[in-house]
Amino acid sequence: MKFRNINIISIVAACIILIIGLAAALMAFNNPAKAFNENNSRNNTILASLSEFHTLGNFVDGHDGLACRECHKYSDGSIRQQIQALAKNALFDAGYQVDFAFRKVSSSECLKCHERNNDRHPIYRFNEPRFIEVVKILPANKCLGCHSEHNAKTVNLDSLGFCASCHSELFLKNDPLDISHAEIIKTNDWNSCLGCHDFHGNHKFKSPSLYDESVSVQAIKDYFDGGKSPYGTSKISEGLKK
Amino acid sequence: MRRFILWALTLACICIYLFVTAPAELPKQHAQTSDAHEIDVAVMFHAVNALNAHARQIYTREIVGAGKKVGLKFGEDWKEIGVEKGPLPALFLRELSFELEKRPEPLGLYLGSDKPINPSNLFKGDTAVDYKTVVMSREPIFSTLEGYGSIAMFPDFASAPGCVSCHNEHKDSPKNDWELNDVMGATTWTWPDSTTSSDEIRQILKTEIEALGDAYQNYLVKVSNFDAPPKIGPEWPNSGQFALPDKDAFLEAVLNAASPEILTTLIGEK
Repeated sequence: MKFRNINIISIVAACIILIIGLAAALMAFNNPAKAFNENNSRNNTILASLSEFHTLGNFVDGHDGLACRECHKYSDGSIRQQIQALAKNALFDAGYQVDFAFRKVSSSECLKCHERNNDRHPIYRFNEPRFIEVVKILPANKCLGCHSEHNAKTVNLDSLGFCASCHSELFLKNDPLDISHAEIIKTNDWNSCLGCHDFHGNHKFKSPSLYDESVSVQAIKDYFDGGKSPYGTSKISEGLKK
Repeated sequence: MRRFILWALTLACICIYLFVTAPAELPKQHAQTSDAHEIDVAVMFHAVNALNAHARQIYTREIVGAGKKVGLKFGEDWKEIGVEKGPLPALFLRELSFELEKRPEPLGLYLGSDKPINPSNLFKGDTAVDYKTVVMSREPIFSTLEGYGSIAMFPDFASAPGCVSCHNEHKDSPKNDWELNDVMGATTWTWPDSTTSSDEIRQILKTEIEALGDAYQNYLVKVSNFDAPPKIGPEWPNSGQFALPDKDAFLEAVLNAASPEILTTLIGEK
């Protein structure tokens, strides 16, 4: 019995030391004095140098050269301050806005490279109150609502028919397509929209005026799954890098 | 007993490490200002809307209206490469909205109507109901919505003949009998809190002025790439020939027009 007690205490103590040690190691390079140039070095933390062993999957096309810390930013404060704040949140509903160790990846990280001045569907527009019901179905007010990382997919949606969320009442006085948009909507042919319309509008892609010349549903599905862009590789504008 | 003491000691050590010897607490919210938050957010909404409304009036009358007379063009496709056009007034507001979004202050600005030229600006659901109230009363309404915070909806009046003629003649307009002073749409503002402070209002107005300047500058950048760009300079509007105001001249005109209304809002006479 005595031996068992000592064993439990030892395990608890070892766990605490291990957690604190790991947290300290994680945060060691958070100190500007110790950190290397975080924008240029991918291997500037212990974790980053071992990224192959703990990333969840392959990078999305074009992200291969990114350092972990381009997206995974340290949370504010020291580990102790974070635990302190999270403990107070749990005990007293204190209202601290802090994550442990690393911040949750948010759209602002994506927009540092991908914000464009001619985006046809910028995420901020979906923060408008009239889209309250839409974002429950399609969280287009966040980059991560449709895109994700470490799974090699370009778009993380199962269905192509999401345009119906906003455009079901579309009416064009001057329809440029050989089959009218009204007919497409009437027949619920929502999978065809992306065959002519590049969602963010950043590729040099001219929408066809003939329905049969639109990009096939399969080609778009392949693109979602990480395949070649059916809208071409030439861009109207690159992101507004900050 | 011994077991209890060991557990208590361990817990005490953790508490001392986390709370007694820990550094100062983290701030609870983003960038709080120093003075008390005791001003109704409606005051802020009135002030930011006054600035935006005067900017739109000046842009509509002096840039779009006067520009069209000397051959400048404005359209929905103004951002397309090779198109020599500027933003229509509604798109100038969207440009301001875009510039505001780039900044850290969580002020949202949107435009909508029940008869929009672009169907994506159609009010739906509760916002359509609120808009009907705004049209009937011709006054702004204020509300709160979970997840969004405070919302203000201000009526957009057909204040210039150009608003009426453009919307009546536009090929995609669902309504062709607009008249001067009709409520053609509404400007919606969002802010996460229900109260604000004088410091915060001052900061937000400063941010909005910067964003306005950048929105207008985006148009000037486009214009400067035209084959035959119009003259741009501070001598606007008294040069004797048409010239577009530069960014500083545009902002000065907007501030001169908006300041009295903002001042009366802030000192509580409105």
